Amino acid sequence: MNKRILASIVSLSAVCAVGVGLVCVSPWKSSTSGENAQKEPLNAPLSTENLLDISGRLADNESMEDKSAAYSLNDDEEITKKSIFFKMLNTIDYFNTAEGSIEICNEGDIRTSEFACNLLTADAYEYSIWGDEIYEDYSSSNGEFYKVLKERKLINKGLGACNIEEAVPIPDSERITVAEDGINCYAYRADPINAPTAREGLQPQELTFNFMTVEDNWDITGETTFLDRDCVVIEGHTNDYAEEKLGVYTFEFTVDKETGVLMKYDGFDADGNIVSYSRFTELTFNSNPEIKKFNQNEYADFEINDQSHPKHE
Amino acid sequence: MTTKKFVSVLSACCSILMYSITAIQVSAVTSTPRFIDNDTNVSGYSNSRYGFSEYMSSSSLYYSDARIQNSGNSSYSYHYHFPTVSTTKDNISVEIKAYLNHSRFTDPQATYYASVNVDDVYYKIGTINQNSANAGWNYVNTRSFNKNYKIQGAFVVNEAYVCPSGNSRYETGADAVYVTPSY
Repeated sequence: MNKRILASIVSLSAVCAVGVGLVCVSPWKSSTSGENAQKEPLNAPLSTENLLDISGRLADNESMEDKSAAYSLNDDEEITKKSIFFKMLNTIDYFNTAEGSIEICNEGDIRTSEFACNLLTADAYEYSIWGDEIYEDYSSSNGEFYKVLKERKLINKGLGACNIEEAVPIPDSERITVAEDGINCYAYRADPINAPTAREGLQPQELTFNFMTVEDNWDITGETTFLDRDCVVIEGHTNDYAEEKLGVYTFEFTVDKETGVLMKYDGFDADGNIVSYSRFTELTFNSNPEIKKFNQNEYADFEINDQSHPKHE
Repeated sequence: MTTKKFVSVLSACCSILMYSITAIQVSAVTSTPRFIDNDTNVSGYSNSRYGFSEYMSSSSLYYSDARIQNSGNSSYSYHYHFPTVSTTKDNISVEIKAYLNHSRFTDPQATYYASVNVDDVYYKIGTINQNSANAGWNYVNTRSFNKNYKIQGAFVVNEAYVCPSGNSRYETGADAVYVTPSY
């Protein structure tokens, strides 16, 4: 009889354990309201109806996957437009730390930065030169961040530095949707990189949404090696909004195959001249970098602007 | 207690446990989107600002208008006030969605903040490159906050703001936003 009791306990416990396990490891995320209350898998395929151009109309009634044959990179490897698109939106899932340097140019305005960041802890440091000014950005695992504007002897202090755990995944099917007002919505994941200049290459969501939302506008055209990393080359033309606003008519992306990081970007005007670009000049992933911590004593005579308590008129 | 009774009680306990777990899993998330235009005149909603004195009109803007500020002074801020959303639950996420559709909105590091409790402390929700973002609604980010952020046992969300990067070559736009607390 004791054996029967023991067997019952064991089997019931197993049932409970399985139930609890399912709750804990379920890769499903609850939608937030009303008609969308059903659960969506994190890696749901891109819905045909969610692939849109900027005017808000639905794209042609074909899926991205249908339209683009997989690009064969090597004999045993292939990559699709869909897979690289979503990898570029989810780069932060593919590395824990990064350090290096990047240069960004936007219509003659050049920013350079040296950075090191840990996505697991939210610790980051970036030293950047932007125009005539030097900036230092610090963030730490306690949520504090500081932007030091050295020439102005000013420190912007804030709260809300975010780690990877807080950068909640967004189902693929919810990355591009149409709002009730008929306008396109682009869903960005939170920024656990905390190095604002480096983020533009390490987590290139803005350019990905802007240049790659319309599938017909771009193609995977080749592969290359950049900074010793295996990359794919993407070429395309931009939409009317980017043409008018950025002066960029065509573009070329060099994208790291493993992480989706935008290693190099060139934006060309109507005559084929480069008007915008970004490129990493050094980049190492997962190297456990030493990250400089904020030390108030270095900036003893600096004014502090507390952005967690903003001023009002 | 007989063996049969013991097993029955144990089974009942396990059933209750399983039911509770299931109930937790399927319990609905409460989501309360708040739409706030710049210069709103809707009852319960309002704006305030430090800087952002320039009012602009254009058909591409939401309700055809917005506020704009040179990005050189990161002390400036444009605020969106809305009816309070509060909860005593242990987690809350706050999503900010900004309408961006104008060639003058160029700040590469416009940062959005929200208050999540009663002490008027604002937390960064996210930074967006207004220059390279696509035209339309841009979900700046969804940030989750755990119980350590609660004050007096509750989350209280009723305000968000945007502030410039600090670089004077650019301009920061403040048009309509959605702020959506979910718990």
